[in-house]
Amino acid sequence: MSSTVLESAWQAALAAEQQAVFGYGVAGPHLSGAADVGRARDDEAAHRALLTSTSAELAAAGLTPAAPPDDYPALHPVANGVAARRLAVRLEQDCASAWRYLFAALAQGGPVAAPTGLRDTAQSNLTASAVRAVRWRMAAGESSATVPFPGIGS
Amino acid sequence: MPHRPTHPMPPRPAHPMPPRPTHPMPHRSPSRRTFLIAAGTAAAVGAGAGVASGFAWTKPEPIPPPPVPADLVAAIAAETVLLAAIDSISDPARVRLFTAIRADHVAHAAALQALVPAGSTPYEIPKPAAGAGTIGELLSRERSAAGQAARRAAAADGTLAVLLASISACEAGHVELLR
Repeated sequence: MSSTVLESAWQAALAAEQQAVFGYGVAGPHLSGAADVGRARDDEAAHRALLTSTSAELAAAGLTPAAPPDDYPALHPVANGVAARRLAVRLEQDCASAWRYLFAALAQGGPVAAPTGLRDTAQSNLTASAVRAVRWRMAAGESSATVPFPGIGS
Repeated sequence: MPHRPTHPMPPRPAHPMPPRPTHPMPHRSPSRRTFLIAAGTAAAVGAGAGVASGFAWTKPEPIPPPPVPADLVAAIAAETVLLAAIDSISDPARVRLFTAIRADHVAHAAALQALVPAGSTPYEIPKPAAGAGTIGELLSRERSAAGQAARRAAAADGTLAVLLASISACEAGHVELLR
């Protein structure tokens, strides 16, 4: 693992969390029902917390957390509740992929020493996003609520 | 004719060389044991020279195939256990759910088996014990399997580590489905 690969993967995880926070803000107004609204609020709060902690950890490692873009055109439009649930699934899949990428960068080993606990963080965040995606797929009534390899090609 | 001297050469001394001692060294003929030791030494030297020059006097032992990593075998066995647990449950109302979960585990087992190095020593998967029987028991086994896969992922490296991390995440999703 080179320092470039590690930093790139770490910044990608931050970017995915930034997108998730923005995306739940887009999906939220189209959701109705206590279950969906409550889930969206909980998930947005979880991603906001991860955004804060990931930025702090990057800074502690001497890196500059990349600023988010002003907008995410690819997340629009969201026309209704069905599209909002699908967007939530997509946000969680993107986060799972980003944390899996960071985990993979750390699992390659190499001369660059990674911060203690970062690999565990990547793994637990991969799992958390995979579980949130399952909940949203269940809410969306998808025929299969799981994917066999979260974060890998999903 | 020239006159031949009567004594052209001085007379030879009676003992030009000192007399040989009667027993200066114990004189012994090479024994059978001596020959055997010498032959053995020559063979050893010859064998060493043979090795150094790349020539083997004897047929080399075949290199044994590498064993399959223990954590990989354990992960494959875990998937086998979960498949047996799913197959032990009869719940017509939730056939679709179990079919989806089963398909995930089949995919996990196939992906793990694909990581077995070619030419490895054949490995044995222990036959799973009794099936789960109930959804609650299956949920418990899925939760346990997710934790085990996460621990193995943390200890492994490379492709196996990434695969196990993803499998752990999937099995945590199964727990969510079965609750």
